[in-house]
Amino acid sequence: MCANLLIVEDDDRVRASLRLALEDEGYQVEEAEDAENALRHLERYGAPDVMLVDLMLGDMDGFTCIRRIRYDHDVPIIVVSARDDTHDVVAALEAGADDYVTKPFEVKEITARMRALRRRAGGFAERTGPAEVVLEADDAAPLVLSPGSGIVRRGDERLHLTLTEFRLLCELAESPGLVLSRRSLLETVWDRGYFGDERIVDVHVRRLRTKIERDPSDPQVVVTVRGLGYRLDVRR
Amino acid sequence: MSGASSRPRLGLRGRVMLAFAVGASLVSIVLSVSVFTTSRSYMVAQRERSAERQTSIRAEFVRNVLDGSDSETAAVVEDLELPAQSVVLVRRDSRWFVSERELSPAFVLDKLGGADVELDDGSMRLDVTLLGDPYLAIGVPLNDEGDVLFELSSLTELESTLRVLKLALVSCGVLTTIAGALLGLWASRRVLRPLHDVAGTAAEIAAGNLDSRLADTHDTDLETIGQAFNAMVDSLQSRIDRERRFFGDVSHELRTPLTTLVTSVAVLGRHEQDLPDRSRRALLLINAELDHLRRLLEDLLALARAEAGLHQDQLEPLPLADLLEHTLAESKRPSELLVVEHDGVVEGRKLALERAFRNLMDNADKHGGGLLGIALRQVGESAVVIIDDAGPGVPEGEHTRIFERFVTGNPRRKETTGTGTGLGLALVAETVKAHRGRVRYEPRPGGGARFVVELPLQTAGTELQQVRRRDGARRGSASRGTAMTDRRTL
Repeated sequence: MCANLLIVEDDDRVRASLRLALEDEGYQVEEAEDAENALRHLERYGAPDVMLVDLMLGDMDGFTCIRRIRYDHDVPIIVVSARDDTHDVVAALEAGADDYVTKPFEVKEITARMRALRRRAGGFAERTGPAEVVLEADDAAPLVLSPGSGIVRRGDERLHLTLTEFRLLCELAESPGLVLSRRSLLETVWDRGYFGDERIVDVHVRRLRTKIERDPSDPQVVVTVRGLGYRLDVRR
Repeated sequence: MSGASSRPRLGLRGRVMLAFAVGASLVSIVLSVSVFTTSRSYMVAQRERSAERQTSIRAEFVRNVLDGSDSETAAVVEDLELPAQSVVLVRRDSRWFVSERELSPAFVLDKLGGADVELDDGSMRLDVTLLGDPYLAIGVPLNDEGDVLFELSSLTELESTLRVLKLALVSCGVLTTIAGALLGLWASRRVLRPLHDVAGTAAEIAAGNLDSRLADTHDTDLETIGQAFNAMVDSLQSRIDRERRFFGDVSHELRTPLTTLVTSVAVLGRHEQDLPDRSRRALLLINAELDHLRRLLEDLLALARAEAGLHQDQLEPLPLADLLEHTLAESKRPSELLVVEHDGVVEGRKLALERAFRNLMDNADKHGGGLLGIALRQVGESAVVIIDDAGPGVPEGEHTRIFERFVTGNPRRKETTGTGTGLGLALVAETVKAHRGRVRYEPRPGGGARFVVELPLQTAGTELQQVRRRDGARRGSASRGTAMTDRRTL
């Protein structure tokens, strides 16, 4: 359970109380009071196991901060926001956050979110082992997923997916050709229940497409089934 | 009243079309009638003049040749060179002669009014019908001894000309009316097009697309309405933006300290066993109040949000049984409380409805002596959710007042249970209203309170339901296990 956690939060008291509570839960907690400090911390010590990022930071807003983190790191990021404006939530997810919680939250809520995001790619990887699945056959540059080793390749180039994007792709690849509803994806990938926010899935699918599709505006691998959900088409 | 409203009423377009058609037909009727009467009188006068001329020429001729006997007169009359269908009748010495051998003089005379027919002042003119055809009879004196010549000239040709004219005018009238109606339709379409644009834009705005505006127009008549409309939408948008910012600021300012409180108290709670007894009791109090404060803030913001029409999530087809089941699970209540008599799908916002139902359940627990059960059924086009409690019920006269804000159960009871925010039912009312439904209180048969929520059923969209069900089967009941970890605020 001794996971490394970096809290990026500009309010001293919130940060201090979170540190107390999460250390009690067995996390090894580091703090950063603004985005600059957070980025410097990442540069010096590398990525932690999971990050909590507030959207209101002193020096730059949380969206920019998350985008900067995402240049180099695929660490799971949970946004902590006191604003529940729906635009903020979607913008944070689009910037690269994996999930969000709104203040005030219970400590067990945040630990549950972190646990869900830190899970490995689930049973599919274990069953498939290091074997490879060709998602899009293409002589020049086939799209290949190796669930066991956590790698997605387009030809010889390795694609950089975040842990969550990778798990989402594995989940879809487990039942190719079948429609998975947003709710079921939310349950299996994010461990969120009935009242979870289905936009999390939409934004992640969008982000996944920009990385794996040849033309993200005309997706061929992860297809939207209107009103129902998403389907992975294996193209041979 | 219902009779008047049930009668189908003509729309603006129909009325304009009708007005154009009626106008065109009136104009064409007036024109046709005047054209017809003028032409007829002119043509009849022409015909009469030519008949008169013809008759006087004939009389002149007869006057010159007549002198001899009766048989000679008969021969003269019979040999007259007459135009087709003309008949001449001559009286000479009180004896009548006719030009047509088949006709007896008496028969023709009978039409003219009898044998003693007299000319009033030198000549006479008369419309008669002979053998079913119209004739114009003109009488002229032959001499001073009472000898007379009548000439009957056929009017059949004139009549048929007039008939053709009438037909032409009537068909012109009909065509004009139809053309008027079509013109009316076109004109009303054209005039209504800007109105359609306004309606379309308004619908778009109502659907949440606040950025849509009416296009600029160079039409001076429409310019003002367009500008006024756009100005209205601008101010609406800025108001919504302002409110959104306000909610953002308020929630941030209030939630940040609350987060510290909740998190720190959780730390205290974790180390509860290390605390002395008095501190532990104080911690219990803090916990209870903190919970109350949280709920109050959430309800307050949710209510303000609902009243401002700001939404947290999208409208989606929601099977109510599913929603209620998860609402029960989320608040750690036994699922046996829910009795589904008839499930229904409503078009709703998941989080808002969950909050509303949860408030009703909390209300039953806090003020109503415990939640007895929730029934879901269908009445007509509505899904009906009935929430019963075992409490004392609400006094007569308070039945609608309880849906107002900051009205809680009676003050004495509040001291003992004390966690109602006074906003819960107001929020329920606001949420149900936003879903085009109704909520009311009624006494439960057998004592206690009963809240009845009616929500309009969704008609289409069963596809999604099927997928949800299929999903449920595939994924098992995973959702129920994780539901409680999935708390969000507002």
